[in-house]
Amino acid sequence: MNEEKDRTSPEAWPSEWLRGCVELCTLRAIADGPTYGYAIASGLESSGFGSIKGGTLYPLLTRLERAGWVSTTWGAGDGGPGRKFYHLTPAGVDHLAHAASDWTRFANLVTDYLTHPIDERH
Amino acid sequence: MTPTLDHLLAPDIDRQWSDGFILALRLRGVPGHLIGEALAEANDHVRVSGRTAHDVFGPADDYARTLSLPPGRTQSRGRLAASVIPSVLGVAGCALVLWTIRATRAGGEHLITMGALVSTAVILCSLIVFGLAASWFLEQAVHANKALIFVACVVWMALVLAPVWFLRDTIGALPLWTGVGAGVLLLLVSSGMYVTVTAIGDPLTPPVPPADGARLGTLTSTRWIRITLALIFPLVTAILGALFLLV
Repeated sequence: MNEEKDRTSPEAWPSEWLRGCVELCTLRAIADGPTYGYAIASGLESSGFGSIKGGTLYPLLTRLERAGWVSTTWGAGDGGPGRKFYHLTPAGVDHLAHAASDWTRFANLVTDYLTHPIDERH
Repeated sequence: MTPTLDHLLAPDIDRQWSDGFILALRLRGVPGHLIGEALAEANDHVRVSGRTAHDVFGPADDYARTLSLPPGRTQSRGRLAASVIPSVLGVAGCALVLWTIRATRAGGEHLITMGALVSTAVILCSLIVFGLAASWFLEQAVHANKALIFVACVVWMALVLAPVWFLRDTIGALPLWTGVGAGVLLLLVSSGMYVTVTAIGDPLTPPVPPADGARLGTLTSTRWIRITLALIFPLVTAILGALFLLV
């Protein structure tokens, strides 16, 4: 039953909300320094976004790289064949700053709309 | 047992998933070095998370599609055609030698019929078409309706065999040594091309060079694949030719 679903659980966020912000949050995760796929996914999960599937994350990282916002290097992994590290490019830093600013304005707009009585808006 | 190259690139991934992933990317014409990178990155996630590739990425074919990796130049038609030519020459050389030996054993020159010429032309054209559209044919072999594939194979065999059966007019004769000589020449050219010209596919390459020499040896083994391919047609011809002469 939907009513019985734990609304505080990260897994409860509607997928369409996550689709709208996962790119921005991934760029933010990479902004903290060179990082790799699993670290990005687990960082987003521990921040409360829920589990980000590899089938969502890696195609997104490929698109960010193709857009020129992210660059990559390969290093040694934990005993595996290698680990791919992601870095923000200068263009990625600019894009993140603008997108984060726009998102904040949009989130404030939604919050404002949802929390104020209808008759106070006009 | 010697590990295969894809296993070296993805030792922590279930073999069935990695095989499906490689096949799906190959069918999309993705170059070997990009497949190697994608496989190594998937392996890193699986290794650290302790989960299976199917849990993390979903079905291999779907993941390969959503990655949208770009096709490479190595799939160009010219290069594919170049890789088919040695096979075409090898088949032609082998057939020429064996037909000539068999006809001579039967007590005469190798009589060339119109049907044999048409059938040979059909086989050679088929090889060339396959080389030009190898990815398309492989994709159909994996995904198309199996009954449809069977019907297509039957139609192709009919196209090859029907001319031999219906077009029996003799248009020439080939003396023993001329036929064998021409066949051997074709085989030599075929083998030479396998060793020197043909690109053996586009091997998967690791994003980070392997540290130990044993693994590197396995990764550079395509030279032996070339030599093996170069020997296949001459060996088959020699074995079958000997059988024709002895039996």
